[in-house]
Amino acid sequence: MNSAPTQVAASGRLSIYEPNHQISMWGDSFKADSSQNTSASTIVEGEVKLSDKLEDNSHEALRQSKKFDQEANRPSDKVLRRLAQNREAARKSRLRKKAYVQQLESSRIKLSQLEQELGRARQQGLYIGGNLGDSALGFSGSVNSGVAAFEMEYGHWVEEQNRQICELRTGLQAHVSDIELRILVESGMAHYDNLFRIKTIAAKSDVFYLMSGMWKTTAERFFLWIGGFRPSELLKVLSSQLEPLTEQQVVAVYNLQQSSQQAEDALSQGMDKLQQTLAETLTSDPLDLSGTNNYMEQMTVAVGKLEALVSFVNQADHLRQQTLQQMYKILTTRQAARGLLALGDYFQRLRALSSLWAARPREPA
Amino acid sequence: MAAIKEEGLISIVKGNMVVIVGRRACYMSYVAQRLLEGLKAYPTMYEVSEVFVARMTLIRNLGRILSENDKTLVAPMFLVVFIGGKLLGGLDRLIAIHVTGKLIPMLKAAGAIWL
Repeated sequence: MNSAPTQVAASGRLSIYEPNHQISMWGDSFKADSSQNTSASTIVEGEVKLSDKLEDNSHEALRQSKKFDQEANRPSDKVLRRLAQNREAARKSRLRKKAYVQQLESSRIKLSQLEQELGRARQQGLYIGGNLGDSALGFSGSVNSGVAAFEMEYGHWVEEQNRQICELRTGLQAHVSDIELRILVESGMAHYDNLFRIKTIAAKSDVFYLMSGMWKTTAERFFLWIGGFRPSELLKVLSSQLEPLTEQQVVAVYNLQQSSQQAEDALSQGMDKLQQTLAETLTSDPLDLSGTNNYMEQMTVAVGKLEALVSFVNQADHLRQQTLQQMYKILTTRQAARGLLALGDYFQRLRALSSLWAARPREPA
Repeated sequence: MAAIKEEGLISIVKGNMVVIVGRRACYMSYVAQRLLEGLKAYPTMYEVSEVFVARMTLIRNLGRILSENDKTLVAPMFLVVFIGGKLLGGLDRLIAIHVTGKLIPMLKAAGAIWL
């Protein structure tokens, strides 16, 4: 390695270029770069302006290097190549740094946007994903994961639901065959079965979370009944969209509305009874000194009563599922497709309403 | 609709048109009761003791354990609905039968409701 002569030669070359030092370095890196098309706009402009100077510099380089030949070793090809590689590496490093900084900047912007959304959502009292609030102080381990798992699965469910609604819409508009519609309808029904399945699992994990409806959007929550939508509401949404119906169908739909409503009422009455007896269980004379034993007894009884909520949610979901399936039996394939579309569209609108509500312009607090 | 204690379960079931067999203060029994009463079928409520429940649950679990079939928790046995002396099932069965329109004919056939 001929380090000493190399250094002399290198410094000698640089000293010649001193006045145009910066430009020539820039220019050389252009030359190395010209074969690759990676120039950003600023570099391209620079290249155009400096192309003349490049020519001058390279000519001068030849002349000056000839002059140096007499004083020092000729810079070898190896040295030239290494210098070029260094310049190339430096250039790439600068580009990487620039890209990294840009990425940081956009992440920062995104972060502040998310923080704003979060602030707005908190104001609305929305449930932040995965955050149990004060519902699971004693059971953070397993309950957390049950709720988190459900939230994730429900998120996927909604995405898939939106996709299926799109398919139904385009299918109906394009007048596809009954066979294709049937496939769409069956996957739609199976998709609802999935929802009830994951809800059953979540009910075992944290029934109060399901009952709170925090996994749904705000407008949907307004209509909440025992951890989900009312079967009668479902039938109302469907019925208006299904004409024309045969007489037989009209009778069947009417009967379904009746029996579904009756079951809904029975469950509602059961919930009222639960509230009433729970309140009674917790009521006692606060001045009763002999009541300390009673306290624990009462609490144990109360906890036992709360366990009934799991049954309520399961029965309510079961009713929802039965109502859907019975409707499917009554309708033709095409009607069922329209019905599923109407139902999905309705819930989409409710979700959109929730977003609009959250984003509505308000006076600053 | 008076709640009756343990003995005579079989005679009660056979002797009444609609019977709900359940535990005391069971909310699902109450829901079943309200549903049937809403249809003007007034069920006889039979209350089983917790000892009875424990015994039945053990027997049911025993079968599963011995057959090595399924070690998961057994679904609650009670409540059980009988119509016309025949076993119908739990609350979910009752609701399913009603939604599919089969309950009212069944009640009529058992003489629990008319018209």
